[in-house]
Amino acid sequence: MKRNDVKIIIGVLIVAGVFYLFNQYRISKMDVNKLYVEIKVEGELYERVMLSDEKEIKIEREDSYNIIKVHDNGVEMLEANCPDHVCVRTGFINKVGSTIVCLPHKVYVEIVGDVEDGLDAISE
Amino acid sequence: MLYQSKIKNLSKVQKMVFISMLIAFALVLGYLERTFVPVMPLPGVKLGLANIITLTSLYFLCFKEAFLLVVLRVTLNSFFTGSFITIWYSLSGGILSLIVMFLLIHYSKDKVSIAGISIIGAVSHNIGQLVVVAITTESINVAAAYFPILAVSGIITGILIGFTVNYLLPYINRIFK
Repeated sequence: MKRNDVKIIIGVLIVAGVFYLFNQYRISKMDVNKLYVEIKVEGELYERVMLSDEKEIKIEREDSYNIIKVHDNGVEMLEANCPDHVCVRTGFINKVGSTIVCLPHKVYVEIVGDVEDGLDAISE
Repeated sequence: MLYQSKIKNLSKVQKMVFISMLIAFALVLGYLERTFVPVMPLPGVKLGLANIITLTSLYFLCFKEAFLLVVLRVTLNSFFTGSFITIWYSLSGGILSLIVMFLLIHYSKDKVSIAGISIIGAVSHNIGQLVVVAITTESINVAAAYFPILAVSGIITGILIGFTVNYLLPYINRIFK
C-alpha cells in the first residue's frame, strides 16, 4: 500500500459520504407521518400503496414475476423468478427511504413520504 | 507494461490459448462467487473475484485483447447464469472498470500500487452498473442511495483482490519463461 492508495480510499469515502448526505437530505424532506410504498417498473410508477395498508401485489410481465407484500407498516419481496434473488434477500423494510431493487426485472420498491419542495421535481 | 515484453514473443495460437485460459479462470471464479452470495451481509454486495482476471490481463495483454476478454467473459457468464437481462449491468460495469484501470496503470506509473488500482476498478464497476440503474429508473435516487454501500464494500473487496493479484502476477509470469 502506498500513500496514493490511501488518498484514493479517502477520495472514494468522501464521494460516498456526499451521496449519503444527499440521500439523508432527500429523506429528511419527506413527511414521515404519511408514508407510501412506491413500486416502479422500468422507471414508470406501477402502484402507490399506503404503508399502513395490507396488500399483496403481483407484477407479471411476459415470463417474469415479482410478488410484493405490504404488511405491518413495512414491505417485502416475497417471491421473484429473477436469477440473482437480491430483491428477496433484502427482506423486510420499514424505514423511509429504504429500497428493494430487482435489477433483472427493473422493479424498484421504495418507502417514501410526501415531498413539498422542488428538490424531488428536479431529481426525478 | 511490466510483463508485456515476454508475451510479445508468443505466437498467435499461444496467445489465444492464454486468453481462453484466463476466460476459463474468470468463469470458474464467477461460479465460485455465486455460491458465496447467500452469506454476503448486504444485498447487491459481492466479492468481484472476476476482477482478479481483468486486472491480471491488463498486466499481460494490450488493451484490445483485455477488452475482448471482458466482453467474452461477461457474455459467456450470462450463459452460465441463464439470463441475458443482467448483461447490460455487467457489461457497463466491466468495461468502465477496464478502461479506468487501464488508464491508471499506464499513466500513474508506480505511484499507485495494485491494491489502489483494484479499489478504483471495483468502485468504477459499481458506478458503471449504477449508471444503467439510473437510466432504467429515469431517476438518480435509487442509484444514489445504493452508492455509499457499494463504495465501502468496493474498497474492502478491492484491497483483497489487489493483494491477490499481487501474489498471482509472478506465478503467471513463470509460464512464459
